Amino acid sequence: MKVKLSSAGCIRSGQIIFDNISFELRDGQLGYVSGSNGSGKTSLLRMIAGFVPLGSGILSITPDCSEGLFVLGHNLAIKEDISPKDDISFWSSYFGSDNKCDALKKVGLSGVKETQCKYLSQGQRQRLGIARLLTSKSKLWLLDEPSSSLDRSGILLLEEIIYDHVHGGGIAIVSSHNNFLDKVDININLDNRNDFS
Amino acid sequence: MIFLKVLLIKEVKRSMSLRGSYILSLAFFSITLILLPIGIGPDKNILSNISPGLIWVSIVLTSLLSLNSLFHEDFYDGTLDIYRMGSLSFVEIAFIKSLSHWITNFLPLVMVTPLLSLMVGLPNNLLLYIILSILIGTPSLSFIGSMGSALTLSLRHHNLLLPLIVFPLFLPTLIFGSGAISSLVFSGSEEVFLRQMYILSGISGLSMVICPFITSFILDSNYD
Repeated sequence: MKVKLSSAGCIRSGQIIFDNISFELRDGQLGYVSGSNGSGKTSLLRMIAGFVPLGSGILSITPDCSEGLFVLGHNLAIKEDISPKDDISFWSSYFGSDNKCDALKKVGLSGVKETQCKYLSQGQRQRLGIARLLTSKSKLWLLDEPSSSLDRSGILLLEEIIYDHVHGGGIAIVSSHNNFLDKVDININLDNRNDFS
Repeated sequence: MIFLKVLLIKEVKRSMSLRGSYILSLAFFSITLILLPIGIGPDKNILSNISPGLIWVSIVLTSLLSLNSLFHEDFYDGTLDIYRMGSLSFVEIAFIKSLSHWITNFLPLVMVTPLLSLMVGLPNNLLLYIILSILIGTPSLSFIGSMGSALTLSLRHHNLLLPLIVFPLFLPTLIFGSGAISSLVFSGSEEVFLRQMYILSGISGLSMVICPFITSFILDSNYD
């Protein structure tokens, strides 16, 4: 799999957010997106996912498979009145995979798997989001601030999960403002690109 | 195919849980059909003549109530994003969501229609006919309504706009739905009834085929 972005720009409500971003990621590579608030980290990831149209430039994902990607964003899509177990079992059958309880155990939620999601803390919700990531069989991971509201052990766990994925031949693009990953293949910095606007 | 089934089961289960809108629909439908005869007066002749229209108008009004929230929650909490990453397209998702809206909002109404038709004095021999007309006609309301629900997605306060957008589109269903039964009340001619039912099933079938495509296009345009 290859993700290639050449001189991509992003325009939101008439303003240029960033411009002329180019990079190329192949199997087993990890990309890291940095930038200050409002520099377009989320927009860049959603652009790669196809949720936001490109302002300019070319995006090519080869081989083209729209179901091969997973975006973990700010909106975690957690329904208040179901349990993490039901949530994971639905999403894993929706994505056609079968590692149901495994994912919850891996992110350390097996203790609360029968509790309704409205009683989960923000960090536990984030962990549930990561568990969904594990149940999707997608190769391209687009993680938008995945470390937000996670505790120290959660961040270590996340780091391990991301490296596992990358070493298994997957691609991950992670945006964050506290750099918790120390081995990244490509650094994408979105700062200081909107001076001219 | 299996993914469609998984999604349908989830959506139906979700709407049937306590937070679902079906109880509200049921209550609203019952209230209108209890209030209308009280407002019109106890004359049994007048009531039974207009009862098909009363039942159908109540159904259309009830549907406006629940259509508001068809896509809203899923759009704002990000569920629609994740649906999109699976192997289903927006067309299929729109189809399933409209179908589950029909199952959870209109089938319960069919269940209580026999009881409530007593309130409006519907002639007993017409009960089966009106249930048939509801079963055949209401899918069009769900599928047409899904377009309106998708259109008002970007507005947070949308409650008033959706009825304004979709009510003209509901007219054919209302006309042929209540018209079919009225023709039985007034002329007793089964042939006229059947003809109107053919048109009604045509409207439903057509909207089931066309509306998911339009809805998916509108949903897509919300991603900008």
